[in-house]
Amino acid sequence: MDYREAEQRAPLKRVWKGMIPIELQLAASDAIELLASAVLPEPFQTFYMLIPRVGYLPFISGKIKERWLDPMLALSGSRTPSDQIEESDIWFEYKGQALKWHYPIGLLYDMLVSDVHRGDAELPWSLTLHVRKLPTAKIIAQPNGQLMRDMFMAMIKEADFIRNGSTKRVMDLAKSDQMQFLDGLETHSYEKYFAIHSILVPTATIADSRAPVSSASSTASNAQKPRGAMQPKAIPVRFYMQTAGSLDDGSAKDAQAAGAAASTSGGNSNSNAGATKQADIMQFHVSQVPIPLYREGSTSELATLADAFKLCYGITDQTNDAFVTNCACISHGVCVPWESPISWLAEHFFYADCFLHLVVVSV
Amino acid sequence: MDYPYLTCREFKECVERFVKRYRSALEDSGTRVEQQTSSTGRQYLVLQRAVYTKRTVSTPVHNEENIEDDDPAGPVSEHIADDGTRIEYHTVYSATWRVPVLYVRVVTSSGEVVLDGKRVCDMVTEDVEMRQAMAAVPFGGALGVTDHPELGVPFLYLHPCHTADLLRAVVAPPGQQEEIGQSVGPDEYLAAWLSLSGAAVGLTLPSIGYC
Repeated sequence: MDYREAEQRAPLKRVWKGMIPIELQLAASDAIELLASAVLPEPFQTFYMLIPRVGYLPFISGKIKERWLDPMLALSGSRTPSDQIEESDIWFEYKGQALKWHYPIGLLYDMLVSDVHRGDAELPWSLTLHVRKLPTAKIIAQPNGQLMRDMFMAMIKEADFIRNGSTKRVMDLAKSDQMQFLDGLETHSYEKYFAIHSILVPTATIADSRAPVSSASSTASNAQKPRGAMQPKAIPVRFYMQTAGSLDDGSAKDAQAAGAAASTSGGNSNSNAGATKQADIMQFHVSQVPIPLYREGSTSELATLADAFKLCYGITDQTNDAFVTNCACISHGVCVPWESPISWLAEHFFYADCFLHLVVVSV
Repeated sequence: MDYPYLTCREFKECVERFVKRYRSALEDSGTRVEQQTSSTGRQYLVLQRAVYTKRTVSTPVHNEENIEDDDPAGPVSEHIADDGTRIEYHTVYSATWRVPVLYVRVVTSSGEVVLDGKRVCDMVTEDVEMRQAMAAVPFGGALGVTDHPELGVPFLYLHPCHTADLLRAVVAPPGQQEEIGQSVGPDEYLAAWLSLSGAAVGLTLPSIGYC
C-alpha cells in the first residue's frame, strides 16, 4: 500500500476502530432472581467494557456472560447454574429504553445520548443489563449471533442492490468469504472484514478528494469527478430524525412536516431548541432513500449531505437551507458538515453494513 | 409506469385502486381491509384475518361390551377453530427495491406476538414444498425479521430481492398480453403482487367479477 492509499484509508480505519466504553449494571429484578439479592457481590457490581461503534450488541453478549455473569454466579455461591442464562436472554436498556440490538452500537449511542453533537456526551455509557423478560413488543426477540448475522447480511444485500442494481456481488461470494466477512465483523478485525468488503465494494478511486471542511465555502461543485470503474448507481443512506411523539401509537408529528419545519428559519422539530431532553428511540423517524452521487440534472456536481436530507424528506425548495442552521447531523459521534459530499461519506463513513447511518437532531 | 417498478406515488394509486376493487370481496371472506397513512404521509395497506388452528378431537366411546379395553377413545376428527389468533399483512412501499414489501405479524388471543418465521409458516403456509423452499433461502430463509418501516416495531417480512423478477416473469405488462394473455396496470398490480407474495404466508385473494 503506498502512502496515498494509506492516507485515503486513514479516516476509514479511524471510523472502524471507534470504541465506546460502557458501564454495565445488572437489573435489580434479575439480580434478585439469580442471586436472591438486588445488591451484587463485590467486585461484580459494575462491569466495564470497550465496545466497537461499528459492532452489534449480540456479538458482545457472549463475552459479557463469560467474563461477568458466569463468574459472578459461580463465585457468589448461587445455586443457579450459569446455563440458565442464554445469550439470547440478554438485552440492554438505557434510561428505561430497550436498545434495538440490530442497530449498530455507535448509532444507538448517537441517537440516545444527549449532547453528542456538542462533544460533551456521557462516557462511559451507563447501561442496564437484563437477562429476563425481553420486551418483545419493542425489540426483536431472541437476540443471538445467528439471527444477527442473517439480519446483517440482509442489510448487505440491500446495500448491494442500491449500489449496483442487483444482489449479485453478495450472492456470488464464496462461502469461505462470507464466513470471513462475518468473522471480521464479529471479532472486529479490520483486515478480515475489509479483505471481503473490497470485493463487495471495489474502491471507487475518487482521486484527490478532500475531507469535507466545516467552512461555508462548499467545495462540492468543484470536486473532481470520481475516477475508476466502479461508480455506484446510488448510495445506501438512512436518516434517523428525532420527532415529537411516538411512531407506534400514531401520535408522532408528521415527520415530513418536521423535516420541513426544520428547514424553516427559527423552526425546529423539537419544542425547545438546545434543550437536553432524553431522546426516545421510538421518536426517531427512519427514512431510507437511495441517494444519487450527483445533484439532480448534473453529471459533475456532487450531491451533498444537505441534498440527501432534502431528498429523504421531500423538501423540494432547493434554496431552503435553514435546517442547516437548526439541525446537526451526527455519525460515528462526529458532527458531519451539511456540505459534505455524499460520495466522500460513502467511501469513508459507512458502517459495517455498508450503509451511512445519519442521526439528525435539533441544535 | 416502469413495470414492475413503482414510484411512491404510483404505489399509493395502486393501493387505492386495489381497495376499491377488492375490499368488498375480502371483507365478505373475513379479511379486514384498512388503508393506513403513516406519520410521514405515506400510504400502506393492512389486511387482517383470523388464523384457524387445527384441533384434533376424539370422541370418547362408552360401550359396556368393551369395558376391559384400555383405550376408551373413539373416532378422531379434525376441526378448525378460531381461537382469537390474528394475522396481519402490511403492504409497504420500499424506495430501495421500488416494489411493495410484505410485512407479517401473528398475534395470539393472549396478546403474544409471534415473530418466529418457522412457526408462522407452520400456521399459515399449507404447501409443504413452499415451506421447504422458503426455509432454503440463504441467510435465514425467505421470512426475515426487522422493524416495520412506518411503525418502528418488530415484524416479519418477505425478502423482496426477487419480487421484481417474479412479477416480470409471471404477469406481462400492457402491450404483451398476446404472449401471456393477461395485462396488468395500476388496477391489478397489487392483486398480482399479493397473489405471488401472499401465497408464501397464507394470503389468498378472492376472485372478483371483471367489468
